[in-house]
Amino acid sequence: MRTALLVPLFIIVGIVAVYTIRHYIFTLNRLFGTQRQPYVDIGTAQWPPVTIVVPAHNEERVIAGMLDALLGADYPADRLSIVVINDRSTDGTKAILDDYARRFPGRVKPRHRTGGRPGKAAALAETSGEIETEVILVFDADYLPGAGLIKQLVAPFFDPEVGAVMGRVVPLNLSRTLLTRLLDLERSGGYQVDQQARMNLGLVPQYGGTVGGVRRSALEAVGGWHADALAEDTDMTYRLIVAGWQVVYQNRSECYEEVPENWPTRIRQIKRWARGHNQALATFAWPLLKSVRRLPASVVFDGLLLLGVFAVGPLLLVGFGLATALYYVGFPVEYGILPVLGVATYSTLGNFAAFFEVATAARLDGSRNRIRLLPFLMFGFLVSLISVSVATVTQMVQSLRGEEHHWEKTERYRNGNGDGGNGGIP
Amino acid sequence: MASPVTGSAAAREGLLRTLARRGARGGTIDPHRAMLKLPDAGRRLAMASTTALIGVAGLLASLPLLGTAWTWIFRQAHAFLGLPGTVVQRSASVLGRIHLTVPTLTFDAIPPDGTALLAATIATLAVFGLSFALRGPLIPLAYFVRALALVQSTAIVYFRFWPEYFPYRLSEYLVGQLQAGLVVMGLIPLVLGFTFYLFDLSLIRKLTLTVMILGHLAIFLPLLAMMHAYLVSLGTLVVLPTLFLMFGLLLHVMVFVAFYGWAMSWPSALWQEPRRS
Repeated sequence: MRTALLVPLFIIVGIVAVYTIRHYIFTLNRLFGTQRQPYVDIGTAQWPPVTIVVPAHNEERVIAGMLDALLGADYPADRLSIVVINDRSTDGTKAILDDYARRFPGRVKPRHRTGGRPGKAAALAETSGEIETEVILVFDADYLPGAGLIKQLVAPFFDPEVGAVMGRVVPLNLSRTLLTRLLDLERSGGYQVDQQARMNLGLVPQYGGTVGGVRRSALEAVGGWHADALAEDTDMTYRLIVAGWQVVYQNRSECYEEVPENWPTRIRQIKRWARGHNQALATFAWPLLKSVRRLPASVVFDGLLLLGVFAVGPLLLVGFGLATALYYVGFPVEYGILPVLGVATYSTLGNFAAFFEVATAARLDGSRNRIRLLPFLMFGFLVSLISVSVATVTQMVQSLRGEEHHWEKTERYRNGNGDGGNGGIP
Repeated sequence: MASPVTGSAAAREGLLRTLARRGARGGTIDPHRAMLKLPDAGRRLAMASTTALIGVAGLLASLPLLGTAWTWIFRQAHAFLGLPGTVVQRSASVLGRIHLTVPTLTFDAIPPDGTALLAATIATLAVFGLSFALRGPLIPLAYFVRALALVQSTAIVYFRFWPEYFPYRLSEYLVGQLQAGLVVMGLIPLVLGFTFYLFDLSLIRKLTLTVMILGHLAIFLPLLAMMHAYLVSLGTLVVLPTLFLMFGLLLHVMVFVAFYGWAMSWPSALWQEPRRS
């Protein structure tokens, strides 16, 4: 009985240990390694024509701020066009877009969708055929790019091996609630440490789909956007990687976003991410493994770990269940102290690597006072763990029943809070 | 004395590095946060390892004192809480090599009878139901309370069907708690070594944090063990699994993370004051 519990528990402990070691390697690399940012110095160039695509569904609170920021970008005006895909909005988004199109003819091009499959991936897939520029940048409608960001994101495309680029996401509404502050810490760890370490180590920086871009020829080479992808960004990252394209991360290219201000919105968001990631895991795990002869083994290994990030949640819960059952039957002392330590570490300090990563990132960011919120991240992790597990189980059931997942939009807050649509940024 | 310009290559390199960051008015230009990193990895890792080993050695040296202090705390708490039995000392070992004397109690808690199980079931259902009243910003707390209720329900089911197989006695449990706490204490200098000592803080601050956490645990561990004993004496063995699984090691880790988060907010000598805090 005890052995039957111990074997799967040790397998789970082993998997968690791999992720723990990965956290430590990434954090130590970010602290001491050479910071690879090869394109950040490109300031003068023959800048190519660029299309910025902004999928929008009921974005009346934020879309004007986004368009103003893009129109004020430091980029040759005759080479920058903005395509906003109004995906069946029922609020004032259409009127705002038409007004901007009238005021900035040829620069702001709204595209009003009234039918077809809902969701960002479908909107991008439907529109990409109409885009003629080689460089396509994609932003979410709540993002506020700085003036220099467009050049920074375009610069990597001078490298012909680069298929996609991703910038850093920084929350702008972080002082709203405890949740926004916790999400700021999480984002900080994810970008300042995780993404940059992957870039430093030549692994798999993720194209995040919200402040980044893709090369049109690369997009076409891998079959374009897939309308049925639940996470079109992860889907695109892996199709590009498997096809041999480089995905690069620019830590210096910061863009502001809204993070969820309440827990129900956050839970919906993380469930959507989990479903998308799990779909990508099922789709790309085998193609990635098969690429081991063409791609460096480190890229394949890191790619698999990244694909499995959201599958770890349900595994952890199973592990806790096994550890509890083992407690009731009595841990076999004849196994020695090391397995006890392994299980105890798994249940407690093993996950400390994530705290180390977040604290390091916040310290690098100069946000050291915010690090005092670190213990509260435990509660955030608990909510994420349960939400991700529920999403995974539901997805499996839906998939067995042949049901289709429907898109859920993240709630916006700006303008509803009276800050003029720029999130309080002067 | 040779100036950096005419001196060694290393001195010239250092001067050039300093000049590269000097502004027109003599101030220092900090690199953007996207490019910040820590210098001297080798020296820092060596210092961190040495400091961590000093911390572990200090802890090992204080073990006899720790055993005596824990016994004193147990006796005080035992008298204060009015627990049955007496406080006795037991020899215990960690990793089979480190031996010390730890206190425990002579009384052993009883398994729950039908009434106790019914009371536990009602209380668990009430707590679970009340968790649904926790809404809005309290949702994470609701999740935690539900997890608590779930763990407690496993104990109720276990004692309803297999009470005779419960493998723990309170006296041994208390020794085990102190042993596990000692392992956590031993790990603390090592964990801090590779997650805190690396940063640009004075040796005094690093040692202060270590002593604060170890000092806190040295007092907290026996008090927590006695609190568990008190709750078990009131609520029978049916509460023991929840105390162990939810308020044992996990609580120590929470305390550690809180200390760590606070210490990581201390100012650095290397980087400028925060820009965004």
